[in-house]
Amino acid sequence: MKLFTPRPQAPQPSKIGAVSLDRTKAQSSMPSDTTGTSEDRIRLSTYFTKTIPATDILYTGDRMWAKVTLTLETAGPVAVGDAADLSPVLSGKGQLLETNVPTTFDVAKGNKLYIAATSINRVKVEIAPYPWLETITGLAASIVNAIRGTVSTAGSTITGSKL
Amino acid sequence: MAYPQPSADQYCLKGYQYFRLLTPLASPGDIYESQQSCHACCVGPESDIANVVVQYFDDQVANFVQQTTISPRRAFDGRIDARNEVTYAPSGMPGRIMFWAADLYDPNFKPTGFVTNTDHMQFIVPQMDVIQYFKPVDALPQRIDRQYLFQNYSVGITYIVVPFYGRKYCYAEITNRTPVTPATIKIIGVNYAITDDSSTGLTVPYHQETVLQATASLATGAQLTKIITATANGTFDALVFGVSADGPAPLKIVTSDDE
Repeated sequence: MKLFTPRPQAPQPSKIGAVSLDRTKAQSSMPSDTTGTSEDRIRLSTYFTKTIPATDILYTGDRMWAKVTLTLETAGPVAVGDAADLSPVLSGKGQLLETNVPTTFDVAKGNKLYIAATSINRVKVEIAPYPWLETITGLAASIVNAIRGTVSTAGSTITGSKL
Repeated sequence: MAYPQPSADQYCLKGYQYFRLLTPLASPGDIYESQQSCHACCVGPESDIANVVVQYFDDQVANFVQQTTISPRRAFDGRIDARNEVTYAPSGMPGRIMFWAADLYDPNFKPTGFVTNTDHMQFIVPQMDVIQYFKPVDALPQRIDRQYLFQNYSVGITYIVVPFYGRKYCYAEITNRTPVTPATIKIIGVNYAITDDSSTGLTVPYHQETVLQATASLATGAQLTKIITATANGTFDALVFGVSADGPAPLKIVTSDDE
């Protein structure tokens, strides 16, 4: 009687990248080789305010929508606002950042965010995209266009009637 | 003083969460400044100076100068703005937070009975340690205990001046390891005073001295232990240990804020 012997098989190509089976070593997936557009990318940085009491632009509003989160790491005082001149810092022209408390602003395109301080301070800046807002905006625009088209068609129909 | 003094702005730029001013006190008149605001201000763990004046800008007081004093167990827990954008009057100097020692110190001090030709002075220069926290903190540091070790001394009497500002306890132990000759030790508590140098005929400064241990002679191998407490002996700016020994005589001194 001949016993069944499975034939050795060639290794199958896998869609999962090569990973080590050694569990004592930490592993992480490879970063994506595609980067987002400037509109979608997150921007993380630390902003150092200046000692001169002058107002600087912190964010220029170059995106459709952006969620700007600021966290003051030092004692301040640091004021943030939409006015081009926030000085004096304690005047109330802007909002004072609170140490260790993240403050988020939803900034639409075209608006600028200004910052002013009277000493050197560290401010963590996170500018994150709002893709869903863009989607809503685009959807709203298409609906408006569709309504406009309907209205113009209806108008031409009314104009051409003999009533 | 440390010159140039450390910059508080550099602490901010380098990512620290505090500004620490740790400097030897060359004279009691040194004034230090900070351009950084803070959420708390306290005496640091390495400080020999117990009382530090914190001065800041306040629009509602004369000359815009407001001040508070901090000590090892009494920190200032609250926001102080540096106010760099304003100026003090009438000097016109820009707004800053300033620090200086409220305790007196005399680097020229000499105890009663000091013989100029034979005796020696050895000062442990007081350190001033002040910390400004950029963020609110839950707990503030306490002063560490200080320990000093001495073993060999100059010819004559060597007077060792140890800072004792605000301390409540001192333990001193000396053993004469000289083979033949006896060693002597005496301990004095000193409270510094401001002396008017312009006074004619002034020979003795106004400092106050209290004998805590009269001169004791230690034979070879003999030991002396002395404990000084605020309750039993009072408080002093400095303790002076006058020791004479021809050979080794280990002297250990420990000072603490706790009795």
